Amino acid sequence: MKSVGLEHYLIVCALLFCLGLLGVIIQRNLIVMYMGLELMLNAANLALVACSHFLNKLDGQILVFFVITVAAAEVAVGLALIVAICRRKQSTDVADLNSLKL
Amino acid sequence: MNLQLITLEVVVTLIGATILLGSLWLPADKRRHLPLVAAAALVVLLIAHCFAMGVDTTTTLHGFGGGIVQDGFAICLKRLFLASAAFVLAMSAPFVERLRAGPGEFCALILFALVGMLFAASANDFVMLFVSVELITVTFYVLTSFQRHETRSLEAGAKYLILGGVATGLMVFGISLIFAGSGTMSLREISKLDPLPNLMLFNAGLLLVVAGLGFKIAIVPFQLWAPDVYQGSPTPVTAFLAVGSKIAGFALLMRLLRHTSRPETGFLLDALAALAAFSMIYGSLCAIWQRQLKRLMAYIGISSAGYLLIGVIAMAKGFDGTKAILFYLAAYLFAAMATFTVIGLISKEGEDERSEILNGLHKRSPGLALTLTLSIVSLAGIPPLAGFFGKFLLLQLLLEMAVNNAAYYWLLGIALACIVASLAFFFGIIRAVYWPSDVALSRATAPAAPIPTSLPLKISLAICVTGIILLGLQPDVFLDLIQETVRAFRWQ
Amino acid sequence: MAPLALIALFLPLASAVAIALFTRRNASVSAGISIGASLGAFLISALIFNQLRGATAPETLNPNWLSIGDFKVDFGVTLDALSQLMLLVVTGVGSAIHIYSWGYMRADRSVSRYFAGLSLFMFSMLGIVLARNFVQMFIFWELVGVSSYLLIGHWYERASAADAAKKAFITNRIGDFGFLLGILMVWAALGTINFSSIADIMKANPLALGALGTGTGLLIFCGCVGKSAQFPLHVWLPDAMEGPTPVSALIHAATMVAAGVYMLCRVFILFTPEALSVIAWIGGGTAILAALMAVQQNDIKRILAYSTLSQLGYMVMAVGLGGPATAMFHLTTHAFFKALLFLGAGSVIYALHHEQDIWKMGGLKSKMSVTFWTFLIATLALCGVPPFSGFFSKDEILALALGHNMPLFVIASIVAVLTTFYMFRLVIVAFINPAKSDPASHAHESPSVMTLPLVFLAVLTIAGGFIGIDKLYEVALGKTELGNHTVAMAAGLGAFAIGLIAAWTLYANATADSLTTRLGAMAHWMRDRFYFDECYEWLNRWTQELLATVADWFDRWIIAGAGVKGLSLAAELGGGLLRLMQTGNVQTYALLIALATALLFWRYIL
Repeated sequence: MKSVGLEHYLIVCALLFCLGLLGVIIQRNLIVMYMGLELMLNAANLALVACSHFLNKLDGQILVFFVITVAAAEVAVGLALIVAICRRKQSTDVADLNSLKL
Repeated sequence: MNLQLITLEVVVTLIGATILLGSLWLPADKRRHLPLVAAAALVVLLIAHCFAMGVDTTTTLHGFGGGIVQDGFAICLKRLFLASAAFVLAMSAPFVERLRAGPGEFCALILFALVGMLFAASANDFVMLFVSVELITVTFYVLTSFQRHETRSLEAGAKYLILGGVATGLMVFGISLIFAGSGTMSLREISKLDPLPNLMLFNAGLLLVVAGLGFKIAIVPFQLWAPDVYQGSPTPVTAFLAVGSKIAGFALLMRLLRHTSRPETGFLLDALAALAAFSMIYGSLCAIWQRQLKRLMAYIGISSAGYLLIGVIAMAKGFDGTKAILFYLAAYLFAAMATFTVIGLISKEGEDERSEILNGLHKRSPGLALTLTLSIVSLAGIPPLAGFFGKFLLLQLLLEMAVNNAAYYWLLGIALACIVASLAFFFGIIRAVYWPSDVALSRATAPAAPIPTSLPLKISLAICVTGIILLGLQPDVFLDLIQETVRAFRWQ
Repeated sequence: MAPLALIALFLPLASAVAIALFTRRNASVSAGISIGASLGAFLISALIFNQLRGATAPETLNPNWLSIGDFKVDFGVTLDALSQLMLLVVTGVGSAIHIYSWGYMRADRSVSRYFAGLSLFMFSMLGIVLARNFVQMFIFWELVGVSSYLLIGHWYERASAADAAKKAFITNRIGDFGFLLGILMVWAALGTINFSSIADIMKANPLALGALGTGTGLLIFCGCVGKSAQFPLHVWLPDAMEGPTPVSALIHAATMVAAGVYMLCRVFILFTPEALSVIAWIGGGTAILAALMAVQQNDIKRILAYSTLSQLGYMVMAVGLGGPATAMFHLTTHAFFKALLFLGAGSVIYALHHEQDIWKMGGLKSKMSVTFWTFLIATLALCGVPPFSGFFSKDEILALALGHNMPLFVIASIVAVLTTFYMFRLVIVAFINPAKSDPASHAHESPSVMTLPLVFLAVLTIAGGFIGIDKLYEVALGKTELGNHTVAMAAGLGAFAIGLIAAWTLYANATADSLTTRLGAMAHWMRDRFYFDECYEWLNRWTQELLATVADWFDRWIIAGAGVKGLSLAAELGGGLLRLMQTGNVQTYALLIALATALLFWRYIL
C-alpha cells in the first residue's frame, strides 16, 4: 500500500483552493463570499504545513502564523465593512454593488 | 539582528502612533492640522534620510535572517515612498472635512500603509514579501472605504476587499507551491539552487505569485478592479493607491524576477511581455472614452504599468533597466500626484469627478490649469517633459532587447502606437481646461470663482511641476543621482 | 558665433514667457515685446551671416547634454550656409509678419495670447533650423506642432477652428510616429544621431544603413510628409486656414510647412536612390493634385493654401530628383512671395470685414492700390515670370526635372499652367473685375502698419533671384546637375502664357459677356465666345472638374475617411468595446481573474 505523500496533500489543497475560488465567483452573499476567501487562504496554509513536514523545514509553518494573523485582521476589517454596507443598503447581495462601472 | 536597517520603518510607525495618540488629546478643531504635521514630519525624515543619517547607498546589507536587504535600489524606492506619502498627506489636509471620521486615524493609516511600502522595498524573502503586501492591502481596505457616508466609497472598499482577497489567496498559494518546489523561502537561496528540486511546482507557484503582484500593479488581466476602486475611494487614497501601492508592487516584482530568472523560468518573461502589450493597449484605448477623471487616471496607470513591465523584463534579462524604471516611476509620481491634487481641489464634496468640472478652469485658476496641463502632457508622453523621457528610456531598453530577439519589435510597435493613441484623452482635458464649448459653460451651475489653494498645497504642486519640468529638461541630473545610488548595486 | 545664435534662439522664448507671465492684460506691450524679440533675432541672424558669409562653423556647446548608457546626445547649434540662410528667412519673414499682425489683430480680444503663440512658434522654428542632431530637431519639431496647434485654434470659440487645430495636430502625429521610428532606426544602424557624424559615416560608406536603408529613409520622410503636408497627409493644411491670416502666412506658407523640406535637405545624404524616387513621385503627385484642387476653390485663403501645397510638392520633388540646393532656393523665394500673397489676402479680408469669397470681391485694384500691386508682383513671381525671384527657382526645378525624369517634367509643366490659371483667376475676379458686393465697393486701403510689410516683402520678391541665394545653397548642399535651361525656360514661359490666356478668356470676359448680351449686336463675336466657353466648359467638366472632384472625393473619403478617421475610429471603437469589460460586478471581475490565471497555467505550465 502506498503511503500518503506530499503530492496527495497538494492535490487536496488545490481542490480546496479551487472550491474557495468557486465560492467567491458564484455565491451572491458577501459573507459567504468572504468564507470562500478564507477557504482559499486555509488551503494555502495546509499546503505550507504539509511542505514543512515533508521537507523537514520550519519556514513554512512560520509563514502560516503570519497568514493566520493577516487573515484575522482581514476578517475584522472585512466584516466591519460588510456591516457598514448592510446598514446603508439593507442588503448583503453583491449584485447591489453596482454604482461604479464602465 | 541589524536594527539600523529598519530605522525608517520604526520612525514612521512611531510618527503614526504619535498622531493616533495626539488626535485623542487635541481639541476637535485642531485635528484638521494633523495631516500637515504628518506631512512635515515625513519631509523632515526624507531630508534627514538623504543627507543626515549617514545612509551608505553603495553597500548592500542583509539582516533579519536574510529577510531584509538594504541596497541602493531599496533606498531609492524608500525615498520615493516617503515623498509620495508626504504629497498624499498634504493633499489630505483640505480633504479631512469630507471624511466625517477621525483625521488622526486617516493619517495614521496612511503612515502604516507607508510602513508596508518601506518594508516592500527591502523584502528579500517570501515571508517579508507576504507581510509587507498584506500590511499595504489591509490598510487600504480601510482607507478606500473611509468615507462611510458615501455609497461609492463603501462599494470601492468592498470591491477592493473581495478582489484583493482573491489576489492574496493566489499569492499565498503560490508561495506554498514555490516552497514545495524549492524547499526554501529565501530569494537569495532560490537564486543559488541549481537545479531546482521540483521545477513544475516551482513554476506554477511563481506564476501564481506574479498573478498576485499583477493585481497590485494593475496589469491586464488583473486590472479590472482599478477603475472602480479609484473612482470610489477618497481622492488622496486614490493617489496613494495609484502611486505608492503600484510602486511597491513593482519593487517586489522586480526583486522576485531578478532572483528567480533562469532559463527554466523564461516562460514567465514571455508571458509578461504579452501582458505588457495588453496592458498598454487596454489602458490607452479605454482612456479614449473615459470622462471620469479618476477612472481615467486608472487607465493611465494601467498603461503605465505596461510600459514599466518592459523595464522589468529587460532587467530580468540582465539589461540595466533599474535606472529607466526608477526614472519612469519618479516622473509618474510627480505627474500623478499633481493631477490628483488638482482633481481633489476642484471637485466638490460628493460630486462625481467628471471632466466637466474642469470646464473653464483656465479662467478660474490659471495656476491650477497650467499644473494640470503640464501633468497631463507629461503623462501622455509628449516631449520635453519628464514622462517623455521615462517612456523614451524604456523604449530604448526594448530596442536593445530587440537586437537579440526580433519578437520585441512587435512590442516596440505596440508601445509607440499606444503612445500616439493616448493623445486622445490629452485633448479632451486640455480642451475642457482652456477652450470649453459654450454649451458646456452654460451648463455649469457654479459661478466661476477662483479655487482657494492653501500654501502647503501650493508648495507641493510647485514641487511636482518643478519635478516634471526638471526631469524632462535635465534628465541626466536625475539619472546621475540614481546612478550614484545604484552604481555599486548588484542584485544579491 | 554659437552664443549669438543661442541668444537669437531664446529671445522669442523669453518674449513668450514674459507675455504669458506679465503682460497678458496689456495688448500693446505684449505686441511690442514680441515684435522686438523677432526683430532682435533677425538682427542677430544678419550679424551671424555677415560674419560667416556661408562658411561653416560647427559648434557644440554641451557634448553630454543627455547621456543614457551609450546613447549620447549633445546640445549645440549648426551654423552652415543652409542654417544661416534659413535663419535669415525665418526671422526676416517672421518679423514682417509680426509687424503686420499688430495691424491685423488690433481688434482681437486676446492679442497677448496671439503674440505669445507667435513668439513660441519663432522659438520652436529657430530650434529646428539650428538643431545639431535628430533628438534636438525632434523636440523642436513637436514644439512647432504645439504652437501651430495653439495658433490655428486661436479663435477657439469657432468649432471649425478648434477642429482644424486638432486635425492638424493629430495628422502631424501620424507622420511623427514614422519619423520617430526612422530616427530610432538611424540610431540603431549608425550608432549616432548627430547630423555631422551621420554625414561623415555615410560619406565613408554609402551603404552603412544596410538592407533597411530605403525603409529608414522613407520613415524619416514620413516626418516631412506630415509637416510639409504631402500626399497623403496633406489634408490638414487647407483646414488650418481657420487660423488668423498672418498665422497662415507665417506658419502654413512660409516657414513651418517648409521645415519638412529643410529636414530632408539636412539629412539628404541618408536617402538611397529608391527612397529618392519615391520622394520625387510623392512630391510631383502632391503638386498636381493640389493645383487641380486650387482651380475649384472660391475662398481666397483656400486658393492660396492649395497653391502652397502644390509648391511644397515642387520642393519635395526637387529633393527627390537629387537637387536639395534647388529645393532650398525655391523654399526661400516661395517664403517671400507666398507670405506676401497671404498678407495681401489678409489685407483684403481686413478691408472687407472678413469676407473671404472672391466672387463677392472685385474692383479692389484702384481702391487698394498698394495691396494690388504687391499682390500682383507676388502672383507673377509665383507664376515664374522674369525677372521676379520665382522665375529663377521655378526654372531650376523645371530644368532639374528635365534632366532627370521626363514624366515628372511634364507633370511640373502642367502644374505651372494650372498655377498661372488659378492665380490669375483670383487676381482678375477679386481685383480687376467690378465690385460685386457692398463691402467691396466701399473698401479702403489697410493702415500702413500692414502695407509696409507688404512693400518690404515685395522688394524681397523682386530682388530674391539676383542676390546669389542659389550660389550660397550650392556651397552648402553641393551643385546640382540641371537639364537644358533653354527648354525649361521655354516650358515655364509657355505655361505662363497658356494659363494667363485661359484665365483671361474665361474670367475677364465674364462681365463683357453680360454686356454683349444686353447689346445684342455682335452675334458672331458672341458665338465665338460661346464656342470657347462651351469648349472650356467641356474641357473643364471632363478634365479638371472630374479630376478635381475625384481628387476631392479621394481626399475626403479615402484619405481622411479610411486613413485618419478609420484609425481613430478603430481606436475609439476598441476602447468602447474594451470598456464593456468593466461591468461593475465584482464576481465578473473575480471570474475573469480566475479564467486568466487558468489560461496562463494552461499555456505555460501544463
